[in-house]
Amino acid sequence: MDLDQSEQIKQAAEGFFIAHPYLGWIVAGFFLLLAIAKFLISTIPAFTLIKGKILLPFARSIKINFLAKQAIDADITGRVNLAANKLQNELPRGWIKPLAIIWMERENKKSFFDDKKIVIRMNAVKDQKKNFILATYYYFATSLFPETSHILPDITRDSIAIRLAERVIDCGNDEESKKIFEDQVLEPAIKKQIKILDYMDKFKNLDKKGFLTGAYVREIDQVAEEVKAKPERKRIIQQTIEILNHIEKFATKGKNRPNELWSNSGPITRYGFLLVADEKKTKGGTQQYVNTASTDLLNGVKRLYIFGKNYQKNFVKKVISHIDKAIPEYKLIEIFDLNKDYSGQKGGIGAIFEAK
Amino acid sequence: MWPFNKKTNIKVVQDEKLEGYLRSIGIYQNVVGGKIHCAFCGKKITMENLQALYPENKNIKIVCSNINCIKKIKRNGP
Repeated sequence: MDLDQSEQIKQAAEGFFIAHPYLGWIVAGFFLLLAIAKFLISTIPAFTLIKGKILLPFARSIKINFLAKQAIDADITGRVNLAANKLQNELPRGWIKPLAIIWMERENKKSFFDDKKIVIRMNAVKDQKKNFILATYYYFATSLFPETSHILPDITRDSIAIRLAERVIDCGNDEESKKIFEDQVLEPAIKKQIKILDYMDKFKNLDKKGFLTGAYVREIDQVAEEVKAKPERKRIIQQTIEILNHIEKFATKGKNRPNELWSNSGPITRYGFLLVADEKKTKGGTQQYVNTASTDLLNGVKRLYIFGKNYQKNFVKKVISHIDKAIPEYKLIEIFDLNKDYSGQKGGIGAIFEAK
Repeated sequence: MWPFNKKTNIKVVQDEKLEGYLRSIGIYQNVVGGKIHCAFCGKKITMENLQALYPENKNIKIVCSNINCIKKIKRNGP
């Protein structure tokens, strides 16, 4: 196409839009909507998932490679990131980052070695459920305990990754996915280490009351961090088991917990729990909890966990803020969401204070 | 904020592109020739059971589709 021709086309287009100004705005509006949709799909998991739901049936019937890739990508990233979005408020800050799939067709050896990343094979769209389960499990296995995974026992890390992946898959309410998860992930893990069943059982008990992501993962991460360069590192397995047994006993005991169960001391860390009751049942208001926290501090509790119910969120926040102001020896580390509260109801709020 | 977080990238190769990918990093012939074994369980790797690969000390390690082997990658691999 020579310059004259392109100039003629440009002039014709200009003339057309001057003659039909509304059409120009419609075209501009269409491209703007397209850009907004693309932004939403790439950043908000719910929109990514919608894209996956639309594309998957087409990808299954029309065998076009580009379409299959788009469908697998949107379905997996949408579902994993939707769950991860919720979990990032439950797990320690910085652990959970959104998943992005990088499709590889070829690469040279240099970039393969420089990148230092695993490459996973994904099956065809017909095996999408298996793809999703594999990606979900791998995602959690690589995201949890970013700084301490090499210190913590394999069985503990594996069981937590399996429990969280199981939670995500259960949310989908898809029986086939649950079956694939059991066959492909759970069963081989059990065959390898039968003890994993005990862990899974305990983790389910903890998770039912919000203590798995709320307290256990945080506490063993802290212990692992502290023993990194200490002789106690040799006893990390025993430490994680002791903490697990204590938190399970505390979580499942109900209202009649004996005094000694409210805190636990090991060779590395000493932690305690403070459960915020309903505001109406609390006689002394927030001061009552400040007094308890002060006593915990005097008794040597280094890390104090505060847990409260979802419908009492505002009151729990007041308690946290009051402790933060009234006890400067305790530093507020983090406020986080809970999957379940200590009474087993959906949602909840937690916080952790650390003695300075 | 969620959308602006750094991402966890997973490199993925599609079934249909596996052969081309293995050729590009120069290990296809070894895989189809049965010369490669799983980095963890020692099982012979085929085009059917190959599930993942990762670099380690200038070597390409390949992992079979057994989930117990995939789980070991994080601890021993990159």
